[in-house]
Amino acid sequence: MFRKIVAVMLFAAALNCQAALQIEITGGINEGHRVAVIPFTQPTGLNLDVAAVVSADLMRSGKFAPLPMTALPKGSVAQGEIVVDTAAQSGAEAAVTGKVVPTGSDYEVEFTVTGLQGANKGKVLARYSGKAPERLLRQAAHRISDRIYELYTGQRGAFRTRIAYVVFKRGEKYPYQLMTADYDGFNERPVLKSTQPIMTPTWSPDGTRLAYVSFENRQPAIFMQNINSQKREKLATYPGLNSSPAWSPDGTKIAMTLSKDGQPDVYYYDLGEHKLYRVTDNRAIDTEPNWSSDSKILYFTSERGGRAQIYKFDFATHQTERVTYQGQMNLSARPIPGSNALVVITRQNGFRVARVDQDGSLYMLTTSTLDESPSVAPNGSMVIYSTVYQGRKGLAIVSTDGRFKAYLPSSAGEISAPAWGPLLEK
Amino acid sequence: MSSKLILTFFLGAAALTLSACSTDNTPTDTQVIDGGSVYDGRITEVLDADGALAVGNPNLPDGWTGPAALADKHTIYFGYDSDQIQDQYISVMQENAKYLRANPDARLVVEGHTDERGTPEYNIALGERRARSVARYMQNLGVDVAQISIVSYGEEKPVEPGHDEAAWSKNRRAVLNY
Repeated sequence: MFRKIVAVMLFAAALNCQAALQIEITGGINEGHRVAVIPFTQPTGLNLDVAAVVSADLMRSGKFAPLPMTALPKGSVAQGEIVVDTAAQSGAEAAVTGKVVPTGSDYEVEFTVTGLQGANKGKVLARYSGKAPERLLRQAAHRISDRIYELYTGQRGAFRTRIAYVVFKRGEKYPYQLMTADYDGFNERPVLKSTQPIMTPTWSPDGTRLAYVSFENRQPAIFMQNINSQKREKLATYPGLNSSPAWSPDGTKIAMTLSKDGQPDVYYYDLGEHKLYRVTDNRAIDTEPNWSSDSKILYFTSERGGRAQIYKFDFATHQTERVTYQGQMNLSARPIPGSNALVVITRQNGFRVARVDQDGSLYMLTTSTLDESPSVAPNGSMVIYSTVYQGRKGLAIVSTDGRFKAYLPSSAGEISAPAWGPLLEK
Repeated sequence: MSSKLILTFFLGAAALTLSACSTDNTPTDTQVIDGGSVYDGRITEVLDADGALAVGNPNLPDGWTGPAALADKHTIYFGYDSDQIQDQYISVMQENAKYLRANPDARLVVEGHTDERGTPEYNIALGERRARSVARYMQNLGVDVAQISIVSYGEEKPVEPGHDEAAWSKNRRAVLNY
């Protein structure tokens, strides 16, 4: 089962396994599926607690409330196996057990999900095994989380995805640094370092390239860079703004904001045709384009009605329609894959992450005041965004149901502009 | 910084014009940046030891680089979400206009900045509005349009790193740079 992941992860392998981001959970851990993740039977010298990685993944999704070992009655585990009757007294609906066994230069990783309550009591709900070299064991742990997430929600997990973000390290020769990392901050890899600001990274749907805005020449320009070879192309350096690139989910276009024709308007560059198309033509500010999952609609922010609100342009009908009415100001619309809802930044006692449901109602997801740059996980479960926490700019995660919240304080610099990468092959 | 590999790309005419931002005491035509590569109007991109592409010229000064006489007369502050120029800054613009009229070869870059509230992509549009408003005023003061260019950094280059009104009021600004 792990064979495919190993292939995928080979190119993503990074030697640096330290997380630049720490996770600090601030709410919502008592809801969701109560699953006990038992420490795996694994070699004592192994520098990774597989069960801890799985437990943290499940918790962050907001869909699970993993039980700490202390919540299990004594005798719930015997020789790495779950003792069903005893463990069931904890109220947990299932237990995850597993082992990591060295085989040659690799490790064999195996896990089992056992039901503890009702009709599932004592039943094996899932069991998988696969091989991974030591440096990919963290990915193998995320793979286990993906399996468990899918078992309970019917949707693919997004625990093996990468994020991109910009770090600002004041005083360094190249203070602005574009990085990629696992979604939980591990395996950080630098992509671009600049003397001048870098903004708005956006992923190609195959996860091999990033488009972004760079001010390296003291003027904004939009580039597209391969994150493995680091080769890049320049897409836009028009007079005025070259901002807010957004790669279409079908991979064929990059939407952007340009002000070359007067006011900021939304355009897109067709990567196949090598042509630029104009989408909006309005005297007010139009910016922050973002695509629907099927690449047929562009959401954007416009001041045409006075204060900034979200609008959408439908490529089939060529009609533009206002989307948000609640809230004095709404910005940065991001469709939530698999739903008809949007994530936005709304102005209410500051700027906060909120969800706009199909009926137009606004549901606040955070209580902070300086939130920006929301980016939704490709399975729609979580939103990563930037905010100010304890006087520093950093990243935070909130589940799209608002249940789970966590800050990811950084060990170095101020972090902004997170962009959640795509789900790669199974 | 140890550079392992040096890549150079032509970035086209648009990039070349940008050297206009620099002042006379800053070498622009030919200068050595990392690893002995030559800055000759092309952009030199260096692959850093950690695998990142390193861009921009670390030898160019960051921040204000205008004539000494204008050292304390180059910043115009704005109200929240506003591009309205307040009366108290008109003298700043008049001083700069006087200098530009007397020095037809001088080139002004009006930098628009915002505070951190709101979203970066929206703020970059607001910053451009501030820069345009100042540039328009400078033209009205008789400065040749060919001497003026604008750039918006939005919220990306605060002068004050704090996260309160004291910092924000200093960050909502247009800088008359040379």
